[in-house]
Amino acid sequence: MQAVTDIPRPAGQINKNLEASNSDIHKYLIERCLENDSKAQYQLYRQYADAMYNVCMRMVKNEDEAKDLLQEAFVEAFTKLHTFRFEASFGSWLKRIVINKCINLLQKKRLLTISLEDSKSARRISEETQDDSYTQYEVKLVQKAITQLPEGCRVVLNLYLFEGYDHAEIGEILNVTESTSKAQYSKARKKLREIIEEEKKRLKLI
Amino acid sequence: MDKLKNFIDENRQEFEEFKAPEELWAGISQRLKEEKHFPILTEEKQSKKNKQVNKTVKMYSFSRSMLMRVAASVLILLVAGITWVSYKIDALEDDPPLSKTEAYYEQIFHAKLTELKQYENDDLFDRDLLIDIQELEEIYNDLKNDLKEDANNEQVVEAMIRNYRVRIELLEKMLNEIKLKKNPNGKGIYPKNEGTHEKDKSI
Repeated sequence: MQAVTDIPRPAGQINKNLEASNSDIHKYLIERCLENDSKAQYQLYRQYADAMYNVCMRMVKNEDEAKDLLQEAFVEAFTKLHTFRFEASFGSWLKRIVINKCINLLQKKRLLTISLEDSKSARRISEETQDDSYTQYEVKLVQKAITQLPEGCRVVLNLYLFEGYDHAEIGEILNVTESTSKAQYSKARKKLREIIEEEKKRLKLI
Repeated sequence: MDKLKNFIDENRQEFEEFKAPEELWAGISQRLKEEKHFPILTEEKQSKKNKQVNKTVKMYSFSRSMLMRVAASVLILLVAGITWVSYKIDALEDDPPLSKTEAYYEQIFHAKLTELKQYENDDLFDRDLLIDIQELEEIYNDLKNDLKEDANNEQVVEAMIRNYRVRIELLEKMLNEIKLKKNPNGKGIYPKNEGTHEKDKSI
C-alpha cells in the first residue's frame, strides 16, 4: 500500500522502481478511468495531485494560477486518457501535460523568452563554473533563490533539476536546441549562486 | 559532477512543500462530467490506441445523453400539448352549456315577454317593472362582456343565470297577477318559479 500512496518521481532511481511496482495498479485504475469511473479518476488524481501541484508551483510561482493549471491538466489528462499508451509511466505522461500547460501560460504572459545567443557562451560558462558545496545551503534558501531567477533559465533549471528531463528533452519541450537548454542551465546555476551569496551576505549583516 | 543536482536530489522531499488544495477535485470532476456529455469529437478521431473501448464508452454516454434530451423534449411537448388540448376542451365544453343555458332562458324570457305584451293595456301591466327588467338586461350584457375576458369565471356565469331567472320571475309574477285577476277562481297558470326551476336541474 505504501507504494501506491507514494509520489512517483521519475528523477530518482527509487521512484522509478516505485513506478514499476505501481504500473499494474495504474493499468487497472486507468482502464477504469477510461470507462468514466469517477472513483478511479479520483484515486488516480489523489496519487498525483500533490506532486503535480508542486510542479505547477515551481513553474508559475503563483497559487491561483497553479490551481487553475492543475485542474486544466487533470481534465485534459482524463479526457485524453485514451491516448496514453502504457509505454511511458502514467506519472511522466501526466507531468508532460502539466508542464506543457505551465509553459503555455508563461508564454502567454510573455515571461518565457529564451534567447538563442546564450548558447554561444554555454561552454565558457560551464567551464568557468566551479561547484560550491551546496550541502551547506538550506533548502529554503535555494528554493527562494530559484524563484528569483530570470524566467527562461529558471524554467530550464526546474525542468532539469526537479522534473528529471535531460537537455535534449527540455529542448523539445521548450522548442529550443539542446545547447540552448544547456546554456540556460549554466546561466541559471551561475545566477543562483550569485543570489545565494548575496542572500548569505545579507543574512550575516543582519 | 553537478553538485547542485545532487543537492536537489538528496533533499528532494523537502522541496515538495505544497499540498494540492482538496477543493480542486470538485472542479475537475464537474468539468469531467461536462466533457462526458460533450466529448471532443476531433480528439476521438486522433486517437488510435484504446479507440475501440473509448469510443464505445463515449458514444454510449453521448447517445444516452442525446436520448435523455430527446426524451425531455418529447415530454415537454407532450405536457404542453396536453395542457393546450385540455385548455381547448375546457373552453369548448364550457361554451356549449353556457350558450345552451343562455338560449334556454332567452327562449323562456321572450315567450313570457310576448305573452305579457297582449296585456299591455291592463291596469296591472307594470311599465316600471319592464324598465327594471331592461336594466337587468343591460347588467346581463355587461356580465357577458366580463366573461369574454375571464372565460372560466364561474361567479360571472352564475350571476348571468341569476339575472335571467330574476327577469323571468318578474315577468311571471306580473303575468300571474294579471291572469289571477282575469280568472280569480284559477290558481294562476304560472305558479311562482316552478317553470324555470324544474328545467334548471337538467342543466
